[in-house]
Amino acid sequence: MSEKFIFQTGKISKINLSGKLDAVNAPLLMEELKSLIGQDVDKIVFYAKDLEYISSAGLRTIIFAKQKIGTETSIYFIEAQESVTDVITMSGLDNFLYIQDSFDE
Amino acid sequence: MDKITIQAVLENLDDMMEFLLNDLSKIISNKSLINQIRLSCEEVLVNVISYAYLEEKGNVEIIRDLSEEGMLFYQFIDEGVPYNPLLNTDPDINAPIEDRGIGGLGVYLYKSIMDEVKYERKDNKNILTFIKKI
Repeated sequence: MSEKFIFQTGKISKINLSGKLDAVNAPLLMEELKSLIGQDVDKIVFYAKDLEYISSAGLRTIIFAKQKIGTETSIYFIEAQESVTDVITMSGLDNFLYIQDSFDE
Repeated sequence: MDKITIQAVLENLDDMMEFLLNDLSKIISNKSLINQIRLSCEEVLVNVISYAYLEEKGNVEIIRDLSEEGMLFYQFIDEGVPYNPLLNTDPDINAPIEDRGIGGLGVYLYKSIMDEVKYERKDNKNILTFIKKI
């Protein structure tokens, strides 16, 4: 099955987010993230330039990623729009994420 | 005032959101605020869809009103099991990630986003009201 979100797996795993991450498609992202559990993942990079909207279901998948894939795993949010980073901050998730304009390996 | 009654199933979420957000961008230029309103409404609706009706499918009635004074009013009415989301304990958003529960975040967010959130149980209905000054 082709992945809708994850486009690179490995120590640095990369995920593309676009459109809306809501209650309808957050479970699909969750399923893909589960494939990273038990893998040796140092960094998870969410490319969020084209992400228009994130719901609480979407925020929960990020908490899930951090808790289940590894609390030592660093999570990056790249080029996220302000309307997305606003709710990340309101949720206190900015404490666990690196919100950046670009990702440099 | 606009009103719809629609079956509370996930397949209808997009239609519900369209009704709730219709023309909102004409009066609210702040995209971040529109997204926060969207998140708040989605949280309520997904909760009704997921938990209100145990065996038989049921409806959710949604009312939207925008007063001339710039007050946005939403009401969500279902005939499901009694549920007052305002009784939930707020998550500790400053807790370490290992200790973060995944429940309660959405309710916490809409309580932060809306100016007023009211719950009422009346005639076997859950009635949740949002008021937001814009």
